[in-house]
Amino acid sequence: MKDLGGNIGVIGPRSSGKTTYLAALAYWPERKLERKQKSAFEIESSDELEANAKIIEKAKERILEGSSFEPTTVAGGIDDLDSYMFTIKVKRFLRPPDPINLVAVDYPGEIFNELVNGESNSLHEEFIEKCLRKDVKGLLILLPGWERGSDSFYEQMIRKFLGLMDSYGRMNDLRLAVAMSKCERGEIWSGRLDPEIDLFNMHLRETTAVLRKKLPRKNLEFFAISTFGVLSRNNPRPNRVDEIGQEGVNSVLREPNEWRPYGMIAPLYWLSTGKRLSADV
Amino acid sequence: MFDWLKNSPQSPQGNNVTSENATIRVVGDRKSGKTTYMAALARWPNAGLNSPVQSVMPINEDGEVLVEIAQNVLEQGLELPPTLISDNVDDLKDYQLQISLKGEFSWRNPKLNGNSQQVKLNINCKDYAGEFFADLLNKTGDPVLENYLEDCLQASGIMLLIDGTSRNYQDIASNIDKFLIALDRSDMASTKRRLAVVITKCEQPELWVRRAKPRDMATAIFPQVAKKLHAWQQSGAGSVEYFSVSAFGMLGANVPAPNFTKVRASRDGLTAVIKTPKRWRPFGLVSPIYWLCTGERHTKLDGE
Repeated sequence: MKDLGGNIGVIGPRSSGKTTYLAALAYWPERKLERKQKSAFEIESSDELEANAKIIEKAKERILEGSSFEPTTVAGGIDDLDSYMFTIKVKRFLRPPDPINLVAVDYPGEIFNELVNGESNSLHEEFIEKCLRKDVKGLLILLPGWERGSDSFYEQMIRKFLGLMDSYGRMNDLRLAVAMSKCERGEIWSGRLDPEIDLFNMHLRETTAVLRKKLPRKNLEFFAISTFGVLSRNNPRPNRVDEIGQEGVNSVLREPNEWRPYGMIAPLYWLSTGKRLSADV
Repeated sequence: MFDWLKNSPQSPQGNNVTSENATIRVVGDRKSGKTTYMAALARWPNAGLNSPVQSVMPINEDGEVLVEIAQNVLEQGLELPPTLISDNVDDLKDYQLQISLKGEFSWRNPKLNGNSQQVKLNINCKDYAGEFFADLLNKTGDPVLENYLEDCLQASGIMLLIDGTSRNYQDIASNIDKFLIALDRSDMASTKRRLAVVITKCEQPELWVRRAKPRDMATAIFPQVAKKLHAWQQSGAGSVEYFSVSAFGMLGANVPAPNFTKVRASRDGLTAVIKTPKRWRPFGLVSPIYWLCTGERHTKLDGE
């Protein structure tokens, strides 16, 4: 038995797109199959796992139909937290792919917002304890903001989080994939090709600096993710429409038949193997 | 050196059959899955064609009870009731099972032609109620506890089950500590024992992805347990080996999913039932037993 894969946590502030990202990961294979798209990387997930089945349903409602996602909350406690299973297969020449089995947990955004406000309670601590336990291989941190003010908020949040990592003894053995999410936005779409320089150095300078200072370089990588993608190669308008719903803005695919997410698999692949794939998978 | 030859009666067909025996006690917290483990082992459902295990047979009536539990409870998608503690340790069921491994997988004597060599594992095994572990161990001097410890000393191997989904890290570590101390104290002969640490419920996604390295997994989740067991081994009291098992198993080999339906979950761990009994295939159950019988790890049994 090869020991590829492992446990991954998806973290980030409220509304950073964590659930949408995981829902898209679970639903994408089905969609791709319908449209007969091919690529060197396959991601598969079994709907025989209840959590996977639930999130695939969510994806259809949310991404295709634009109904709202309830925010993921801490209310049900850690025992209600779902774990999703994915299998990534990278095609190889004349050999069957080595499957990478990943388990991803979607953490409620409020935990990370509260880190900055300093209002953590024992419930939050249980979540932190789970995501920093030694059996977790890496974390995907989604940060959607690039506008003014985002940097200082993220910097405080990351600083607090690094403090917790230290107290759990994880400073040197936990990979952090830091990704800017929602990269279909026109202002940042072009920055996706070199996210470390054109997104993080450019827009989140302080946050990037503190991460670089505290973490070993081998455990830190920067990524760009767009769950919705753009309309086409020659038409880089976001494939996303924001609809005003009862509970705020709901995003939905503008052209469901042109759905091509960007950069969803690369951070997961790096978190599990330590190797970077070409950027756009 | 050639100890095993003594236990190698020639079978009536004239084939070489190696028999290995062990007396085992299964201990662990409440709901760590002790009875479920034993029932799944005795039933051995939907065995894979590539599995080194040929068959698992109950040898006595108690062993047959396990098969009934598997059929009447687990295969009906129902939950097993807790095993109640008996004040008299002699009342406990003593399960006798015979596990036959396929010839080609026997490598205990590589000189012999592989397909003629068969291994049979004969075990008799008692599973203690979780209460023994959780409560009784605190009652030093209690005659019931003394009886249990006395009974436990007869075992050549101990299977210590830990629910991989439990978050009672401290309690588990301190219970194990108490158990090892009590055992060593009662053992005047200072017998060396094999202690198989078995992480159960490894169909759960977070455990399943780490099942290939059970020692690392146990150390990551239960660092204090690993530390105590390491110290116990260093003291010369016996040897420790780690295993990852699932009495429920997975659905689908290509894109796997655990074969379970959640009943409830808490700090004490997950309670679940089998989701699709028709496709019930546990994994890893024979590996700790092989090790307890032979002292050697049979890696092909780990995933099967």
